[in-house]
Amino acid sequence: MENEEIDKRILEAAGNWKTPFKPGSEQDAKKRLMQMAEQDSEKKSNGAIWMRVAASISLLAIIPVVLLFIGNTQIENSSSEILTHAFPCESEINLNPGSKIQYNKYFWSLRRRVQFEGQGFFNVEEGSKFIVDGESGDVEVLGTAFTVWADSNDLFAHCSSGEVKVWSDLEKEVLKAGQFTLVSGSRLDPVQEWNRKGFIAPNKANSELVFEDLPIGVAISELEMALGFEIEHSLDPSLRYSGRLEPSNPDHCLEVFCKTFNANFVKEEDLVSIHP
Amino acid sequence: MGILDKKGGKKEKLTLQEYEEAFDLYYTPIRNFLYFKTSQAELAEDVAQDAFVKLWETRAKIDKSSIKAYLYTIANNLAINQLKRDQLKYKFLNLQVERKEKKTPQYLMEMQEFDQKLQDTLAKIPEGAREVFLMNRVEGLKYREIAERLGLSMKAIEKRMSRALAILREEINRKV
Repeated sequence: MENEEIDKRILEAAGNWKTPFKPGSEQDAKKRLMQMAEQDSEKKSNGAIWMRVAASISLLAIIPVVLLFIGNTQIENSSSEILTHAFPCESEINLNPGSKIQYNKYFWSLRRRVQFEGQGFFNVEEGSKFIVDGESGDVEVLGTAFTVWADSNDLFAHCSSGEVKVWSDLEKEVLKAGQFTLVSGSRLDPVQEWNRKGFIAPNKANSELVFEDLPIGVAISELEMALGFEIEHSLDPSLRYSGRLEPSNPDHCLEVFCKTFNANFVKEEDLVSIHP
Repeated sequence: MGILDKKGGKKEKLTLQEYEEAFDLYYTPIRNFLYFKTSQAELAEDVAQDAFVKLWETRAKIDKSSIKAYLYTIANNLAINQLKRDQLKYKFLNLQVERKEKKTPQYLMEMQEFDQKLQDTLAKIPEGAREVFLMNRVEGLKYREIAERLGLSMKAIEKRMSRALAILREEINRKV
């Protein structure tokens, strides 16, 4: 046979060949592979859903932290005048010079809580509870007017109207209109009657302290701040003080104050002791 | 133009629909290619499916326009590994004959003998040439298509085909 003829026969014969696979084996393979791909796809998409859920949860967790950070509002009265500041709920504070407050404006509708240091008269609109955090105690009200003086050692709270709850670390008192109390360390003074005048900061005009019927504890706190001394005393806490004091001359100022109560004072460095 | 024919697109993950399309287009040719290569039908089916599993697993990384080449490469590598691992050797193909024309019993017997001789001779053809010969004759693929699938030039395919024919011719002549 000629080469061409043989090639032709070979090509013709091979052209009739077919592979020995069973009919339908492709469909079986397809079914298996598609099933595998679909299951894997579902598993991955479930995974993706969980990833999205986890991401959302993380975001929800992050948002309050961000709001806490950027919503932080700090007011410090560095002027010599009383500063009036309105909170987002329209409650107000008259902030004495040298006093400061800090709160979060974004969380205000959920939690009316203000960190406070110094002296201030609060006029609180009705709503959720309003808490004043001092270092030595807390004051909680619903809707009322009250005065708080607070520093790192003491907290003085006076209620002008409504009701005010005052906490020390260990005790709690409820003040009604006209009453006041003092927190010193973890000790809470008994509730005392006073007046309903409201703002009781002493008049500091002309560098003088002008007291009008001020509870002795409050007057001594004012003196401490004005003179820069720590004052301990054994005077009757129900006493009141009215008078005019000149803090620029500390010894004279203390003398005048003590004379009213027939008391004496001893000064040792930054500590002043007043005893009858 | 099918989804898989798009060229130069960015690498987007293969969808289920595209995967199915790839199966419809390439499973049978790849399985047959593997059969021509290994002479083992079961192995060819398994390896072809493995290649498609691999395609699904790497669907996010591959360029859709190169799926065909990717599948042939994967199938080829998997087959080589499998043959090495199982120490299998090419034996003989069990290609079936499908005759459309009606012929006399004597002619059919002659053809049957001829087919057998040819199929027996296939084992003597180098692997590359055998694949090209069978892809052309059994699959009915043109040289250009074979070149595309195997990633070879047209010249290389022509050369392999000539080599396959030369060996077959020589064997047939010897046996006749």
